Amino acid sequence: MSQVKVKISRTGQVTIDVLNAQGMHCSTLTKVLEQALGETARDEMKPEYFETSQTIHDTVQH
Amino acid sequence: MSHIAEVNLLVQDLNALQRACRRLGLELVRGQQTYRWYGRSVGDHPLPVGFAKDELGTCEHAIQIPGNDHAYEIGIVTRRDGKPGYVLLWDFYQGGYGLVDRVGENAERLQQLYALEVTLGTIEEMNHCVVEQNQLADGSIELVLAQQGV
Repeated sequence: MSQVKVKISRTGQVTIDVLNAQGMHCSTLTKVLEQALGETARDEMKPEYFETSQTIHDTVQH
Repeated sequence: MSHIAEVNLLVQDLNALQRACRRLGLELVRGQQTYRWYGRSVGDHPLPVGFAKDELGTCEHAIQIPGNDHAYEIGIVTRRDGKPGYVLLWDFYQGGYGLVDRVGENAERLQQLYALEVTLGTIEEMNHCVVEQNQLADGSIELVLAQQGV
């Protein structure tokens, strides 16, 4: 089950971290949260997103 | 997709700001067009982007400490830097005579609770819930969210 971790710093800076999600199973929650909270300063894919793509690639090569 | 995002807070939701104010024992007064401050800028700090000296002290809404006619107040004014939402203006001279004690330096406590209220309101609309909430040693609030019924 995917979870979303939200960390709100003392200064109001917010970090949204999607846990246990793979591939394109994007939670629309995170995008809605980002828009509701303000201006996205950084938005990066996590390793498991790329791991899924790599697995598919390896399977095809074998 | 799996990702991590950092968001710079913009105050856009007056209802969430009102709830954050209540948590701090403050009152958001809609339609209050002036806020209590020193009364004139002495030029020791830069003005907010898009604002002139003679506009300080005027606002669209205000935040006050109920029953305290001495403490300075926070003005809520539409941003003028091209970004959406509001800017919070207040005079921190002498700690705003009690205001800074309530909202924190740079209104950080108010902004943190505003972000918390926005998050709680948004996840409810999106059918998610808080499964864990922690106060971290550095003062951060951490929420773990999950979809309801999954």
